[in-house]
Amino acid sequence: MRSFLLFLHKYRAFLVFILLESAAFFLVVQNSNYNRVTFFNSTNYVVGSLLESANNINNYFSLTTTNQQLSKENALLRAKYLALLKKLGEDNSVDTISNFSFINSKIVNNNVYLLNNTLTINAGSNQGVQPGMGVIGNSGIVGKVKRAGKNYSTVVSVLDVDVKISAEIKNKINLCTVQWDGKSPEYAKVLYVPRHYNLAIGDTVTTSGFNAIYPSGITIGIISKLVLPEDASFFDIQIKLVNDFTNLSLVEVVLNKDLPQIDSLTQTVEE
Amino acid sequence: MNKDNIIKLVTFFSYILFQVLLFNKMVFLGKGFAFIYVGFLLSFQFELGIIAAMLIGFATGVTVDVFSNTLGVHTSASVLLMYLRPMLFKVFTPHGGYPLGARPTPTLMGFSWFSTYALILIFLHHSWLFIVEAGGFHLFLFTIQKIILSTFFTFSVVIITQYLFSKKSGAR
Repeated sequence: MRSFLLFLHKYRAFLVFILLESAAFFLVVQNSNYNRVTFFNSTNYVVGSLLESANNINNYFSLTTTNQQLSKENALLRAKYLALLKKLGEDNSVDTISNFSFINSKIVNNNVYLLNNTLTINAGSNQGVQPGMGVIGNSGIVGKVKRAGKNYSTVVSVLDVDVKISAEIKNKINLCTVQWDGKSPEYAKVLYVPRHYNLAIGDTVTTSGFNAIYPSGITIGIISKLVLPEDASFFDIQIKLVNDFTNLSLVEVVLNKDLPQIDSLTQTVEE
Repeated sequence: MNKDNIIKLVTFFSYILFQVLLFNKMVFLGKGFAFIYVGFLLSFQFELGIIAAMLIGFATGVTVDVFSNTLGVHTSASVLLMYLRPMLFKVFTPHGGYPLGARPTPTLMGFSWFSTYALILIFLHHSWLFIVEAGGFHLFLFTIQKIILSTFFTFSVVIITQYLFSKKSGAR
């Protein structure tokens, strides 16, 4: 017994080291879980409001860019609206997007250079945000809500090497996968496109209809590099993301009114 | 609480604020990060007990992690740094030992002593941090580039802060 105590005393520094490292790794693993609201992240009120007030100052410097982005989006939306009106004629009863609604919010913190990037937005469960909802920016998709605090939420960005997005290439392929490779915040990869398709640089990649998170047809990016190695069965595709993640400030959280129903159906099938 | 502890606390908060509000946004070529809070950990006095040191490392790491949503990553790297620090002191003991109550600063220990000490610890801290962040050894080349660029970025900022803010004598 005495020698055991002596042993503990002799190696106490190393034992404490092991203990603290285990605690740290426990936190790392804990942090990769979805839906678990823990105290230690930026949905926390103190952390969120500090980041927000710092961001308020930063925002003044990017007002011009934000304005330009918004007016561009306005123009695009107006064009789409007019096209739709023309298509529908006077009969406006067909409303395909009606099961989605949107919650406006502002980004208070954003990182793009890590491997698992997150954003913090200033809307939480008080505004109706729930974990699992999609988030879109002014020109394309941004990510998916990971945790919702009362007034702040964290969002897993598209710029996360572990995130896969169900996508389609407009008019060509109706199911493929988009994933970030961890390198540049401007580009991502499209995976599993068989070589017999006829693709071209400049094709648009959008979200597919096979998910309940994003409405279908939201732009993700434009094909910027297309390589077909001799012996590979899949294309090697790089897309340029339409959102400039280094300079995002306003986003919308997508509220799918059918989500609870879809979720419960999926669960029934799994059981 | 005596004057020393208050100064330490103020230093702690200013390092954290600068880290999370300013340096977290400054990334060199998309790969070089400056984790200036390492400078805070490096500048504790020589006699600080290893267990207290690791607890300080843990607390500092958790605080930085909370703000960057990278829970555990900075924590584990900081604990490692504080665990290795006394060993480095042992290896680099100058003639006649360390002055009592002193802190390792470039003005007290000389530029070459301090930069060896800081570079080794910053390099180990960053290697550990980026490998834990990547979750292993895939993306190896990319991780290596990040480690090297960030080591030099952090080191430069730490040296500059040391010369700007540490007292001439280094003793307190």
